[in-house]
Amino acid sequence: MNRRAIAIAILCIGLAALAFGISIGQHEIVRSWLQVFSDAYAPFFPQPIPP
Amino acid sequence: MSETEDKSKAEEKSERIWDKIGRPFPKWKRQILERTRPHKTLHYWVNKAFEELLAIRIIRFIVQLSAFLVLFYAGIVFVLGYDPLIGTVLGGIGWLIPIFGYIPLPFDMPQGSAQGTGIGYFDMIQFMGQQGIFPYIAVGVILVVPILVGRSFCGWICPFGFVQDLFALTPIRKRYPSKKWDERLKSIKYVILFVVLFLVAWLGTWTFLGAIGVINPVLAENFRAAVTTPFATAFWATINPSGVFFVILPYLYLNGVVSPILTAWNPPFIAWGFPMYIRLGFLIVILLMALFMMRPYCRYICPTGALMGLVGQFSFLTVSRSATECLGPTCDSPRCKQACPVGIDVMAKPFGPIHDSECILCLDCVAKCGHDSVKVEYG
Repeated sequence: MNRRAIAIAILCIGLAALAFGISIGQHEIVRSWLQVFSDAYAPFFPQPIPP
Repeated sequence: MSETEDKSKAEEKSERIWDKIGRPFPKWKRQILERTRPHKTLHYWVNKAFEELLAIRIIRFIVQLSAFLVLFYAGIVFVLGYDPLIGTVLGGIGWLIPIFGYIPLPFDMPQGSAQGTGIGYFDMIQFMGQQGIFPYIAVGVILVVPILVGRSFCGWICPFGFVQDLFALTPIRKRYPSKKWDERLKSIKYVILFVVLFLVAWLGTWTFLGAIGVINPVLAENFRAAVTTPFATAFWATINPSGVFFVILPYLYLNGVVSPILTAWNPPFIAWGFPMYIRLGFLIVILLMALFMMRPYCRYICPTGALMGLVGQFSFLTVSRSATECLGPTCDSPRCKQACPVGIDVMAKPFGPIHDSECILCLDCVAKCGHDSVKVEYG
C-alpha cells in the first residue's frame, strides 16, 4: 500500500481519537492527574499573597 | 570584452570544482572537500560556523534549552497557582497551559517532573490503560504528531534527550558497538515497549471486566493493586532514568530524602532501598554511556521513542538523500553517517526520503553534509 495513504489513514484515525477523547472529557483526567504532582511540590514554593 | 578580462575569468573558472549538475562549489566548501588550508581562511571559518553551527545545531540547542526552561517554568506556574509573568513577558505562560495541562506530550515527560508539569503520552497510556480506561487522547497524540513531524520532538524538545546532548558535549571520543550489535541492542526498546503495553492491556482488561461486572470488581481491583504496588503508577516510570533524573533527584534536593510527600507514587517506589539503588544505578549507567556515545537512551532503551518511531516512519517530514548531488560510496567525507546521533547510515539508504523509525530529525546530517545532498522534505 502507498506509504502516503497509510500516513493519511493513521492521521485520520488519530484525529478522530483526539476529538473523541476531548469530547468525553479525558483531558480533565490529565489535568487532575497533574494537579496531584503540583500539590506535592506546593510546600516548597512561596504561596501567593491574597490581594 | 578585453583580453585580460577573458583571461582572468578563465582562470577563475579553472579554479572552481563543479558538481554533477554544473553548479560551482563555493570556495569555503571546496576547502572542506579538498582539505586545503582550512584553518588559515577566515572565510572558511565564518561560513562553516554559519552553515554548520548557527544554521542548525545552535538553533536546535536554543530550541532545546528554551523548551526545557518553558517546561520548568510551566511547572512553577502550576505549583504556585498563578503566573508571575502575567502582564510582562508574552503575557505570561497561561496560553500554554492548555497544551501542557490537558494534552499528553509527545516525548518522554516523566510524571511529576520538576522541570514541568506536563505528562508524556506513554505514561498516560500506562496510567489510564491499567485502570481499564482507553486513553483516546494519548493514542490520538501518538498517531497524529509523528505523522505530521516525525520524531522531531525527540530531537528538538525532549528534556532527557537534551541532557544526553549536554553530556555528549564532553570532549571524549565517541565509540559505538559494531553494526551487528548496534542493530541487536536497538531492538531492546521494542521489547520493553511491547512488554509494557502487554502488561497494561492485561491489567486494563481485568479492571474493565471488574467494572462492568463480568468478574468480581473487588477481586479485579485487588489483583490490579497487587500487580502494580511494586511499581510506580506506570510500569516504565519505575525505572525510567528520565523520571529518576527529573522527579526523584529534585525531591531528594528539596526534601533531603525521598519521602512519601508524593503520595501518588507508591511507597516502594520512593523509599530508599534496593529498588532505589537499582534506579539510580540505571540512571548513572545511562549518563556515563552518554559521555561515550550520542543518545544511548534514545538508541537502545526509550520505549516512548520506539512507539513514536513505529508511527513516525510514515511521517510527512523526513530528511531526503538527493539522487543528483549525493556522491554515495565515492564520497570523500561521509560525515552524514558520522554525525547521526542514532546511528543511521544515511548513505546506505535509497535516494529520496529516508523513512527510518530511528530518525529523530535532529538534522545533523543535513548540517554536516559537505555536498548539500541531504535535505529536509515535507509531503
